[in-house]
Amino acid sequence: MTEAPGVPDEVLVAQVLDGQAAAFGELTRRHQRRVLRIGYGFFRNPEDAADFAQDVMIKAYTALATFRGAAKFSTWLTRIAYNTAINEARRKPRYDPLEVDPVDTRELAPEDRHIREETVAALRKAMGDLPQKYAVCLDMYFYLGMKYGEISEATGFPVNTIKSHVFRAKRELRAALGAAEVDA
Amino acid sequence: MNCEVFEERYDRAEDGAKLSPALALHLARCPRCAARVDLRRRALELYRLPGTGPDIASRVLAALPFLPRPHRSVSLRDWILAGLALSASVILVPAQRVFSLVIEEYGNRWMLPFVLVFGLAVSVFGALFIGTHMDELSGLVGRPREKPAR
Repeated sequence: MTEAPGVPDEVLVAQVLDGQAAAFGELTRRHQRRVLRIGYGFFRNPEDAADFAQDVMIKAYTALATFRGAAKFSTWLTRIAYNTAINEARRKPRYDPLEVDPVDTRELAPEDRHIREETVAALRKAMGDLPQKYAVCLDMYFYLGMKYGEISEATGFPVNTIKSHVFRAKRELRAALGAAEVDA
Repeated sequence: MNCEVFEERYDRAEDGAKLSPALALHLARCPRCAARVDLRRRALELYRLPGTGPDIASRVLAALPFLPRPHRSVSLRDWILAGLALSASVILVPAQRVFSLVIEEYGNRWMLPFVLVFGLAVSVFGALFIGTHMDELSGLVGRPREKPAR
């Protein structure tokens, strides 16, 4: 019952609460990329990020009974990851997942690789201009594909603050892609 | 609307949200802006390529048997409210007119079943409360809680 990719997260949560701990393995597989990404950004070290991701998933497991389904499971989990990271990574002022997140781009067409490089550079610059607690919001938007409201729920920042940071990053991205168009 | 205004407004909109009619109209009529929007969509798809990170699930699954099992619990506040409602009903029932009518009709013979039912309700409430708050209660009486293994 736990290996079904079509089963909604909320059903898997109910299965875990009914004693089927293996269902939590499926939840972890679905969301580990999200948690790892936040770990990469805050700790900028693959081993620390993996330990962080394990800690976050274990925290989520022990607190699972408090998940009431008011927000999506992914948003609830992101909130746990964000709060854990903010508390543990106070000494690392910069958020930069791109420094360590290993993506294999060898199979991409040269043009796609170029577009990706420009995008990475633009968003990295946008993140570098912000304190880590706001920079992670850009990653939540551009990489994790979260909505403004979900980011606000996960981080506690007002939607308008997030919108304004994302808007500035979009401007950077627009300029970078405009330059890429000219180069191509 | 010119392209500059379009880009500004388009950047202010949330990705994936429905565009306003004016933005949608410009996008449909302007091949340059349509190409730029398409390029941004493609760029973000490429940006979101999954990394080749470690498998966390197996590590987490290995730790689960050593962790306390999560289960839904009713909050302490709800328990107290339920207890207050139970107590209030016991106090208020004798004050009701129907209570004196029952006394007139049947005398005091039914008092024994009433007390038994009330006692049963209190016992069930108490047993459920203790059963669902073992962890908190054991903490209150000073027994050290086991530290979850990793």
